[in-house]
Amino acid sequence: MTERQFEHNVVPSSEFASVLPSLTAWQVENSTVQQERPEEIDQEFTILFEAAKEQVFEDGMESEFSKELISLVKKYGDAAMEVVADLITNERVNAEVASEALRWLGRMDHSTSYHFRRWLLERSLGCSSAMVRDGAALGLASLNDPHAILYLKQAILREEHAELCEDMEQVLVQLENAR
Amino acid sequence: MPFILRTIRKARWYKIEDVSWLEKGDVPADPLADLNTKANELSVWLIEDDRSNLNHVVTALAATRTHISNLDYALLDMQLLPELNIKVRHTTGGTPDEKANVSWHRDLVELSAFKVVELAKSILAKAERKRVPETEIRRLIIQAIASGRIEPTKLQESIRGKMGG
Repeated sequence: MTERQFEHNVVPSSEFASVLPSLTAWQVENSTVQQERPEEIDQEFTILFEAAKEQVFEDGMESEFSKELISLVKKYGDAAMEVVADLITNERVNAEVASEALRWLGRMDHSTSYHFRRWLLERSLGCSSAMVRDGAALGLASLNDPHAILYLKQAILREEHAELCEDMEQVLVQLENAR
Repeated sequence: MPFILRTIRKARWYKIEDVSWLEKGDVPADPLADLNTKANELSVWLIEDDRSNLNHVVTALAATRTHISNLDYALLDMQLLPELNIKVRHTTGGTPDEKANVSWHRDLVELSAFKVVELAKSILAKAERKRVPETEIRRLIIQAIASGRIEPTKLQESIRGKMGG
């Protein structure tokens, strides 16, 4: 990730920025991602997310979107995650599609992108759309990593939708039991 | 009185307060994605009034999927259906659980667009909307296989492969 992308695309600019996970530590540890990424990766993801607006998603069911998303993340690794993070955290894509993406990013098996995926899921708990926050919580439930406990607790305190709050609490209990 | 169960995505049903574009008495359109009819019919499941078959039905539904995942559902009092002028027909379900398919599957039939919207309004106002987490779904499917209710061969391979973890 370039310095410009880090400053302008991925770091949260909302009022929640101070309580959301920072990418800095992860980025320092992973200096190999400090490279320019080919433009076609951006295009592939933009087309993928745009086309997915026409799909109706169901929990637990693979879709053309989920299969292609996983395939691209595995193919391009962190360069792919930069693009996905930009699209979701800057809320440049349809909320339902973003939510679907987060569910599958939590579920997929791919160790090299793990930390970036976890960071994005934790960060997305602060998105303005309740649907996206729900997708983030479900992705974190699939990931089952207690690292997210702090961010979930903060998200629960901020959450205005009672039903979503209840669902986040369910995930929190799961992660606390996973410690 | 029994209930009808319909699988949903809870996030589509969050109540939106103070939405300027939504007229009084109207409902947002997103929930309708969970009420997609086929041949003007909608697949639902009957849940006994003591909810004794709730986990059984939830497990059967989860077993139809390609991956272990949370399962969200809406539970609506069946008594409300006549008020909405919605007819119910006993039909066979298509899950890997034969008992559930034969005993509890229903179709809401002769649905018009108006009736679907009225149903959505009832679900928004009166239904219980719940989530069964992924971890619980995994446990329920393992239990159903162990008790012989579900044949592992009827599950998608992607689910069978994850049952060990």
